[in-house]
Amino acid sequence: MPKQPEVSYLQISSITHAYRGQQILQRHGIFAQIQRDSRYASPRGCGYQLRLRRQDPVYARQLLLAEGVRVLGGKDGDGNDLF
Amino acid sequence: MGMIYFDNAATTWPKPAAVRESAVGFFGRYGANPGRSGHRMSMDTATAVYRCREAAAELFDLSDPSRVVFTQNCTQGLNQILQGALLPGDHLLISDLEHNSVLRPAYRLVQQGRIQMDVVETAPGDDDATLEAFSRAVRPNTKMMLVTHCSNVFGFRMPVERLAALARQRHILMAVDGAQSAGVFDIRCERDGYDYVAVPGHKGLYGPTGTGMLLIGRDAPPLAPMMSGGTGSLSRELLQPQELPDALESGTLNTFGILGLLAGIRFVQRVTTAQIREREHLLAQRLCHGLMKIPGVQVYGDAKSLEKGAAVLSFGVEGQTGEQTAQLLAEKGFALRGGLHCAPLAHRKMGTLESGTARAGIGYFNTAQQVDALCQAVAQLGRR
Repeated sequence: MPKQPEVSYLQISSITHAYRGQQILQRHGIFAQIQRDSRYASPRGCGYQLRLRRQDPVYARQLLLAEGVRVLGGKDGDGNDLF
Repeated sequence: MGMIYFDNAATTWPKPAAVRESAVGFFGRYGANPGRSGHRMSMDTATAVYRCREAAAELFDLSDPSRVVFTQNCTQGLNQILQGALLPGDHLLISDLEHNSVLRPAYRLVQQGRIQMDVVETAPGDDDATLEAFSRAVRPNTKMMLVTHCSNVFGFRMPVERLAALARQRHILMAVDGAQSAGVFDIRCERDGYDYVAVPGHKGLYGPTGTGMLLIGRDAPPLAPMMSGGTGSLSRELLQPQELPDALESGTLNTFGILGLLAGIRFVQRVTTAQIREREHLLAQRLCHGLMKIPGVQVYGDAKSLEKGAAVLSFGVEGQTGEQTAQLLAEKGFALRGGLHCAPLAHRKMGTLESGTARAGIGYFNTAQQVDALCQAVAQLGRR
């Protein structure tokens, strides 16, 4: 099993969808914390992030997209784009 | 002299203790703007607002809480449905029991030459006939049916579940005015296939005034927003975000009201709509029987229609207008509404357009003793 990043951030378009996304991930056993940190924000503005710890961000993104939660982008703990 | 409140069809009173406590505690913890910032108070407020969406989604059978849009009242939701869904040339069907919150915005669209509209004659107590009347009124360009779940004047309940099935069959959008039914009757958006439901927060959901919700069904087409502006999301884009609820929620939310509404919804969920309905129906029937025994008093509707409908009872006292009756009762300490109740179509249907009616709206906190006291007071009016 590949090693998961220590932390990663999924950029979500709105606070409502951040909460919704948090619950969707929780149903799949993934704990995510909602935050708003400019270092990991989408350039499109005003985004909130779901902070994942030792989880696969690509898989988490797939889960969210499957339920209609728009993911604007992703960053690793150093602020680099993940996708 | 204490007041005995029977104006619950306008807004429920008293509110449950949890709703009052929410108001008292609000500014200490939830004073910040939700969905705009990342500091703790903003996040706590946003969490509480989302809890309200979740609770509403659960109560009204929506699998996605983002389809709960907060409004300032039911009227705003109904306006948003009409203005957001109907395009030039579309045909709209409404019932002959609609409140002005439907009639006026729909009529305005007709006056502007944007839509065509027909008012369908309903048959309270005969659901088959009502269904048949709607079915006959459908035209090739009919886009939507917008029907009240329960009349705000007479309590008559419309077969909205069956109308929704008809709408699906005929490829028409189904919208429901849940002003008198939310919190009392089960409104299952996804199971029953409603596209849009507008509900007030301050009536059967026992929240504060200034609250309401627009519930958007899973397969409903997007509504063009009545208002655009800041949403806290996608701020670089000039166009309003298309995602719900931001598409239809611009500007700062009424968090004070929404948190009270959350407490109100939780109250309804704890007591259950079934128990609320049973209690209100028993009291409404007691009132109906009591008033019917009084000479010179005419009750519109009967115990059977009350059993099926909302606990809203209209009556008239011989020689008085509804306004006069309500005023005389107010002098005796009873809070009722008199007049046309913003629903001229319903009065025309029942022959009470000139006199209006006095309306008693029963709430969960009314008691049998209060009902008996009202009957005694009305009997005294009849003897004047």
